[in-house]
Amino acid sequence: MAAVIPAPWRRWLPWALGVLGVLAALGLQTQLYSGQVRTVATIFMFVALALSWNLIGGYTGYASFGQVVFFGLGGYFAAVTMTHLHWSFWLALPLAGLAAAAYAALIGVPLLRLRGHYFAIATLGVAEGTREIVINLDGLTGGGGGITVPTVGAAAATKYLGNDGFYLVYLVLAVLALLVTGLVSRSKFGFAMRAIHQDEDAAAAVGINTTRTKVLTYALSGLLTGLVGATYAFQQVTIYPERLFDVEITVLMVVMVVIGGSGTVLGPIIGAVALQFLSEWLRQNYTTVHTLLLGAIIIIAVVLLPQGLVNYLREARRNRDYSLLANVRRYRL
Amino acid sequence: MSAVPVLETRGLGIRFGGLKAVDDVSLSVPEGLTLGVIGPNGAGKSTFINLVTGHLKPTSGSVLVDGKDVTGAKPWVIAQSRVARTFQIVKPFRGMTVRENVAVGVLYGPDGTGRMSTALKQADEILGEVGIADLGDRPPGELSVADARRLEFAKALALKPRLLLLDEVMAGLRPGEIEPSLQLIRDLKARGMTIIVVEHVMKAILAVSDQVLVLNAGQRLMLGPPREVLSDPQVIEAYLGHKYATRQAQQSEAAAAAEAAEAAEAAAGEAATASAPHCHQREARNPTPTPRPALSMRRWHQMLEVKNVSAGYGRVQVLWDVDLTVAANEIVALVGPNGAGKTTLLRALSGMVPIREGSVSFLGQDITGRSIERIVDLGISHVPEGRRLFPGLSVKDNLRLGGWRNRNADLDRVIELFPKLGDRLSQVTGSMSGGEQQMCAIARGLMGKPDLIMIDELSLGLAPVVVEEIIGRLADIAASGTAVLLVEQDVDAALTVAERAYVMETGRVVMSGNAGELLADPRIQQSYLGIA
Repeated sequence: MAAVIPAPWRRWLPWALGVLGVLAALGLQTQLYSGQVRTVATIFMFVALALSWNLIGGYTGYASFGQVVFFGLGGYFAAVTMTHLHWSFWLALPLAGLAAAAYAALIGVPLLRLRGHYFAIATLGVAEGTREIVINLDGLTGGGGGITVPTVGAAAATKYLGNDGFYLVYLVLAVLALLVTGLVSRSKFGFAMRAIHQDEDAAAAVGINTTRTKVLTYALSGLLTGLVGATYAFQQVTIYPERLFDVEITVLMVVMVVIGGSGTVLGPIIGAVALQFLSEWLRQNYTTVHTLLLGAIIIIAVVLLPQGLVNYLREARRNRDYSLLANVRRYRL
Repeated sequence: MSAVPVLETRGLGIRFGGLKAVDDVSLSVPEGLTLGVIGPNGAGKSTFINLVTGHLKPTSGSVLVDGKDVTGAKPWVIAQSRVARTFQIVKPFRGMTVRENVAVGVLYGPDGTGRMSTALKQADEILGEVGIADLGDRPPGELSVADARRLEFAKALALKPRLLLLDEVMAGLRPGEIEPSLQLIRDLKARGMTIIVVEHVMKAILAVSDQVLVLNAGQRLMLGPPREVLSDPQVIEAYLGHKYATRQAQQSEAAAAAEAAEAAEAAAGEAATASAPHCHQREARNPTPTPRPALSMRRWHQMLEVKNVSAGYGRVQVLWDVDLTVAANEIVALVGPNGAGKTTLLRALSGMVPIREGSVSFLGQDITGRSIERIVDLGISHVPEGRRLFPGLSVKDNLRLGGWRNRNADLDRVIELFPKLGDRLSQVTGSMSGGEQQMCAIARGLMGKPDLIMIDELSLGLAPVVVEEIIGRLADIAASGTAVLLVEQDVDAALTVAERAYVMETGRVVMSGNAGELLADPRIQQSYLGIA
């Protein structure tokens, strides 16, 4: 596709596509009824989450299996400040993101010294531990009984946004995550992330401050995840630790990125849209077995396209070989 | 030239547990010097590079670059002070093009730019310098071995280094590919760059080095002009073993004496005395010089026959057309310098590395391409380099695991060979000395009563006394019905105990024959040290 467009314009192609995408999303909203708006908003939410996991897990190669900790932390930050301090959501939202980023940097300094599955397990442990802390700070967080953000009356600094409002907020967050990813992937910083993913020793040997790069990336990833978590908390009104620190949220982020293609701009978007859409469609049409079917489809996708759809297409085009069997063989050694 | 050395190390050392991998190395490298660093396996060469470039933190001593103390600094700090390195195993950034690989170094190097277009342009210039300008758009995975090495060079040059450390940039190259790399080093040298070359290819060391540093067991053994160093008895000893060096010294003394005698036109009687030590020595080596008459009878059947075998890893071909045979009850030594392909050959024979061409037959059966466990079943046992015991298990459990092939294998038989193990059956193997561990590894290899045992680097990290003790058992092992194929650094020890031997060099068998004759052949030393 890119080949038919003159070179000077090609630079602007992603921007043009992005603007078109946003316009389409806004247009789509007018055509949907309320329940569907909510479903599509959830898709945007997962697009933003998948893109933010992709920064640390995809580009930098540090599989953060405790990514939900930033989601939960952002959510609780917003809920607690809105409830106890009566902050406006528009103040709580950015600060929740910053709090999550600061937490990411704090735990990142020790954890990012670990590599591979050691890092994955350690982040998982931090997420579980943080949830326990949130449960035990029940004066502040309501503990296991949850906390309810005031959405009506005098106590509510910000009125509940409703399906249409959250649709827009999630869309903005998805676009923000996309912008960050797009800029990072082309920048000097993005090169450092990819170099670290490939070989950390070699990256350090060409002058890359690997510690700083990793911690910054983790903070950036935590920031975006925290923003989404804060929005989710407000959307849910009442939140519980079990739900906001649910491992399944991390798993979904990982699966979406892996299926779409990790370390790419488009991969997480495709993965998130495809998986959420499929999941919803199966739920409506095959209610009783929908998780079974979804699981089977995920397994098949991961077996056939272990590198993800976008990376597969890229390699297939280069090798002029679209055979899935050859692809499986290449990755199974 | 500035008076301050580009690199200085003072008492530099690092310990891994009890092992001093680099021990008290002091060195001063003035600007513009090309320093070759050599040493046998495990001498600490790569560790030395890792210490200088910050990839390892020294446990003692200090590193100074341009007079500035950088001990313990992070690798990127060292890189920014214009010290660049290559890696022994090439480390390209996959998923980036070749051009981008080099651009990363330009972006993050000491003259770091934020402009992508500038970085990519400079990357192209550097690719041109190393001679792969046309490959900029390719992914590094598609490069040939030689081109991947050049990319490694280019990535280092992207830092505009003053000091360049090259870790085995010739490894895996074919003879014809070595010359362009040497030319590249010469060009950089002509530009005044200070270069440290760690290399096994002695020809390369001789071609480019102004000075050669020899490391042995982590210590600085010697520093001097290349030819002087390579013909020094201590260096010969480090590479070929103590006895070999001694004999070589005696031989050259004898030769010198003979020459002197001839020059003086002395009486015939005197000349005879001069050559006497030579004869005497051969007798000393083999106290019963009577050839074993049964041998030729026994060799009616070649138990192991390796024909035209080629093998390698990925696109790196390591073995080229190797022929080798081992007869029943025979001890055969396989010697040659580092990187000659000895370990790869053993791994190919035991099925761990796929054989690309040629065939291997064992006891009349074609075993080419058979699985590892099948080959073990058929009676080939492999004692790998570094022993690879199960360190958390007891000696007894380790031995019993070796009896996989033959569940009824009797412990008593191997303990009879290595009585020391009998006292330590319940000890955890990881806590034993290196020598005991090696005994345990060999004993484990013998548990299944194999027809052939292949032992890789028997003496690695062991004291000479221990080596002698273990080597002494090989004859018993052969006599008990298990032939031995021995890969060994200590050439003298190996050739003394073996009946026949093969000498490998850069993946090929270059000499073979009677072990005793090979021992006296000066070409062996040449293959290790580049000069005789």
